[in-house]
Amino acid sequence: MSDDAQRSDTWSTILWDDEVTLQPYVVHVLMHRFGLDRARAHELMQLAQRDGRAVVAHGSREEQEMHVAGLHGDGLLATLERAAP
Amino acid sequence: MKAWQAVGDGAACSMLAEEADMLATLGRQVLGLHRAVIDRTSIDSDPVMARLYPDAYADAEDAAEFRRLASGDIAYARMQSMTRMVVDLESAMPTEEDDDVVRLEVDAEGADAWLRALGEVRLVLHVRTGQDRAELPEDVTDDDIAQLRDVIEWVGFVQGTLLEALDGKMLG
Repeated sequence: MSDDAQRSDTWSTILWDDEVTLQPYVVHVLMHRFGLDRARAHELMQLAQRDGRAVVAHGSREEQEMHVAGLHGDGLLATLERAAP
Repeated sequence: MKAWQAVGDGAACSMLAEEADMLATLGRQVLGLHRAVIDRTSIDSDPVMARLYPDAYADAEDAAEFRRLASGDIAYARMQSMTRMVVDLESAMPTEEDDDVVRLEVDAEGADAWLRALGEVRLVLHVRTGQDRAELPEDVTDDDIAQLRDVIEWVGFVQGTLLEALDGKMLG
């Protein structure tokens, strides 16, 4: 079995803490981009602030690349990585 | 500058003509950065570009590939938002010389573009003022930096009150 076959096919979009961007703007972006309610968006923003990073979405690699491109376009710091199996 | 107030599905505010002029100038400068990405003449080692177009992957090769495929589209979308703000500002500029207040009104779509554009202007200024002095042009003085910090705060007020105006409407 190849390494690839053993690795997870699920990818995660990571939002990174950002000391510049206004917190309400981060909440606004998360609500609009991911259809979250305000409480959940606020929770994820705070998680990123506390831990330095937070998983804000997961699924196919293509999907997460779209999310990351969108978040970059909104001025936020985001990366994607293979989800832990 | 007075705080944005909710109007219809958008918001309205007024600011001094000189403030509007400054914001339009900053917006045009940021447009130049995105244009350079599309033209592939941007300087990747510039800390401002590193912040506006960060790595999408921890792996350098994956990050470079993502940048190659996606940064043109991201730059194009950003130019649309920034152009919206710059054009709104320019078209609101007073025609009479003794009129020094500009009134701005945006719909929901315009407000969204403004939020992104204001955030970008703030990011660019923040990276520039926080940058090592050695990396800045020699003629940049401490006074210049202090002034830029004031501008960052002001842009934060414009963005923050726009968010409040929009959020208040959604809650109410």
